[in-house]
Amino acid sequence: MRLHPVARIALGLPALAALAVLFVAPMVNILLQSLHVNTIAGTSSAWTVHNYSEGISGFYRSSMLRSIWISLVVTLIAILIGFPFAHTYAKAKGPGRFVLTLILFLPLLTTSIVTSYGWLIVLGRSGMVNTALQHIGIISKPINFLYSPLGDIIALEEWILPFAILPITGSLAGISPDIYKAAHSLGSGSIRTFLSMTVPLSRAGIIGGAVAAYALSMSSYTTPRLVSGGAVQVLPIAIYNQFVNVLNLPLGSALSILLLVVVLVPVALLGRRSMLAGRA
Amino acid sequence: MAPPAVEIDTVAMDYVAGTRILHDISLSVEHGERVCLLGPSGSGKTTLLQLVAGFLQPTSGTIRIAGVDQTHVRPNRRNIGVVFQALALFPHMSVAANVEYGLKARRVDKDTRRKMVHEALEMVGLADFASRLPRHLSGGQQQRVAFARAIAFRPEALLLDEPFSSLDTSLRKSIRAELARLQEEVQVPTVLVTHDQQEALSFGHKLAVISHGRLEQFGTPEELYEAPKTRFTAEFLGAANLVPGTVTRTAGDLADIALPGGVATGVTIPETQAPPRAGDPVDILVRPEHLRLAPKGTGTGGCILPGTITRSTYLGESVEAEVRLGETHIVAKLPGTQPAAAGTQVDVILPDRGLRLFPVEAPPMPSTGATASLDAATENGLDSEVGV
Amino acid sequence: MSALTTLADRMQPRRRTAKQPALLPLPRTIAKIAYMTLISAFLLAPIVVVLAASLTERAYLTFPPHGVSLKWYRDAFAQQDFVDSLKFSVWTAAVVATLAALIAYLLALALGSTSILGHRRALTRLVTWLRVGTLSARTIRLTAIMPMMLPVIVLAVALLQFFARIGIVSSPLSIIFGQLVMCLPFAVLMAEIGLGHVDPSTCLAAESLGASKLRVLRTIVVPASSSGLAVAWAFSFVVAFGDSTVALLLQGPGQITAPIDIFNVLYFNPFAPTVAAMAGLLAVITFACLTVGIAVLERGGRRA
Repeated sequence: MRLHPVARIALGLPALAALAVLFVAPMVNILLQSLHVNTIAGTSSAWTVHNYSEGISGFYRSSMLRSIWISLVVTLIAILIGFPFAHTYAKAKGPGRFVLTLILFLPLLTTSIVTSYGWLIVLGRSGMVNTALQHIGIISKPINFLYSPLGDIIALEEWILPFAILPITGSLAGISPDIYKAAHSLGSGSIRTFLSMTVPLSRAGIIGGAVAAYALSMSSYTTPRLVSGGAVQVLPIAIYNQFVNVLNLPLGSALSILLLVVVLVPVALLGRRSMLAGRA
Repeated sequence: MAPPAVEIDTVAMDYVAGTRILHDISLSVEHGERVCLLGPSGSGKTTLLQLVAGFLQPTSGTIRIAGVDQTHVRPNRRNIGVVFQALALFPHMSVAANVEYGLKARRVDKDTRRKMVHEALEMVGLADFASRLPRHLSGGQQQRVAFARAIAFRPEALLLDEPFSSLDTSLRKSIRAELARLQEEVQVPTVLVTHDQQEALSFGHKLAVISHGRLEQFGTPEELYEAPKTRFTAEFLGAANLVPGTVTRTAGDLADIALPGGVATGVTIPETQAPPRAGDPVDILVRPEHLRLAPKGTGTGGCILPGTITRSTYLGESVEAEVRLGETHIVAKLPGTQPAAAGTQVDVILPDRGLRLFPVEAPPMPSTGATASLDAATENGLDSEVGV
Repeated sequence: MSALTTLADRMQPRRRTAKQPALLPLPRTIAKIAYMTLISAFLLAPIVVVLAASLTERAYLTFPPHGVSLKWYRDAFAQQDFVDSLKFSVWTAAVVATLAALIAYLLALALGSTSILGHRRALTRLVTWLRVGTLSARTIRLTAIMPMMLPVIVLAVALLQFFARIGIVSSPLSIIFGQLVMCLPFAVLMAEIGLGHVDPSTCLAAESLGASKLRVLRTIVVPASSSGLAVAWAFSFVVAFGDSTVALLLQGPGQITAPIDIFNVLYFNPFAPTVAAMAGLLAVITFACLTVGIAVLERGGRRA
């Protein structure tokens, strides 16, 4: 379709207006706000980076580091257990494929409040897992899944795994089966073929999946809030508290910008290529 | 006399200012005629077709349809049918709806529309398939739907953009013949773009050979094959041997050429070329099927050159022999013979008539004078255009 | 026996005398099925558990459920707060999805038309403009996709601040606008997939057959990409319906979505089967939209 430039601009205008007003302006707003400090008289008009120095020290630094290590663990597990799943899913056809697609998209799109609630039932002190393990006699005392990073990791993993599987599937499906045949005909065994063909050729998907998993687990708020009940202070919970309970808006804004940086830097470094490669 | 159905008048096209992709092309298509635009990929033939269809507009020049200037008329306001390379059938519409589309856009009333659709489908033999979706048809059937769609609204011209390229060789031949028959039935002036010389020779009443955005030659298939005006046309259309020689004498449009081991007399100088002078290096065009071979010392008639067979291949209806002639190798196509052993000394007999010469393109030594540097300059100019 | 034969022998691929270590086809398939089942079970576990718990007969949450009953669903629907929040969720999500799908579709149309070719005069006269045009198209696309990578909590607090500043407080508009930004990237991606099913040469064909731009849009482009539009709507609806973060921060009196209602109830009585019924209902709605969406998507992909 070739359109007149004016028609094209007119078509893009609603989206541009929505993005400018509802995305760019609010982001600029909190960026500006983060550069002031709260005083008793309200927000001062002087420019300062005080909020950022507070945001990377002490209490908030430990929140951020906790967020990062939890996200890295979630990401690593997602790639390791997601890859074999993606490998089978990429080859699936017909009803099998339909069912697997549903299984992947359901946790991804079901509100995290429902899934977190489900994990509360499963992982509680008298939940299914503890009851079962005690019944068999593996443990004598219930394991503290909830109100600990372990519960957060399990619940986040369930929500995030599909985000890791889908890009890997995409890149695996793009590999021609002839490549495997060629590798086998040249005398390469299954393991060698996997390491020398499958993994390098699906690298873009692995990176894309890892970036998505990391970014989403870094920024998840409701899941840790419900599963660990705020006992595990991650950065999103700290941000929420600044805005809703403490009402130190400039500090909250600075923490938001810091979270943004910690999430977007790896995305920009690693993800850009794999995100755009398929569409450029 | 009625104006030609389609007239392309000194049309030039710049891709970016200063980067010319078409150079002042003029040609016309008469009523009922089939013209093939033939050239290698990237030569500009599809661009020319798009200019006629109105998808692009030329930088300069005029495009007239039935004598009316339509250079700046939008494609939907022109009355031209197009069959696209990938056919571009509307996948969500039935065969009948596809064919009806052009009539609906022209606000033809419903009854006439139905009649015309039926007629068009009847003609291509697909009346029974009217309610099918295109994806449920075979490749050949889809081809015919695309044709029916393009002619249903009685266009003033039909443009075909390599429409056979998606078909396999055997189907391509029969569909091509059928399309030629249908074209004769409706007598619509037709332009076919192709890079396949066999297709062009068998389909076109006239051929336009295009290279690097220039019209090399426009004429009947016989003219182009027998009397190519340029080296490009000679080499692009059919197999060609180019034997290097030196001009010894010229008279009018004929010249005598010294060849390795003999002299060819009465070689035609194509009219588009500056007449060579004695001593100029030239190449002589000889088609493989015009050559004859005889055992050494027994050749008669024409110009006889001593050669050595280096390879010969049995091809069924003929034998293809590769012969070393001085420094060059030429190929001869010899019907009804048997292959000869490599190393056999033979007499190569050039025909008396139909030999044509072409100036040597780029001299191997760039330091041979002004002509050489001029040639080099032209060549560089062309390269920069191709490089876009 | 010369050195040559020894060399030739050495050149032969070494024959394996040991048994092949690879698994037989059958155990391999069983292992694969077992693995897929295990991961699927993990992915579905919380949703299945919620559904099962919501069907129990007892007044306290048990798993596995004792007896099957729908009485907790009746209880849930008897709670006016929950019914109101569900209605609010459905209508706001529908508005968000409609806006997102339309805006995204128009944007995708604008972006797609550049990637194929600019205006026909552009080719000869405005090439410099065209280059700028393509560049900005990429930038616009990136900006539209960006909110997807943005932490939702950051988006939510930014919108909270911004709306407070420009005076949109305690209005359903704030939730609708907030979720719109969240949904737009998904909608743009889906609309682009849909428009990818449009063969550009069919547009040229329609034009050559006499159709105006508007007719080409109406008769060729829109029908061929309608599945993309539908999927963009369905995905946006599900994303908006499932959102908890934006809705949590931008909620106002009377503007509570169903997930936030559940979130609030969970504070008081996390193990009441009524909550399970509410959550189960949300899961079922999501599942229904998803099934339809994926079915349409797969069909659209097959047709193209």
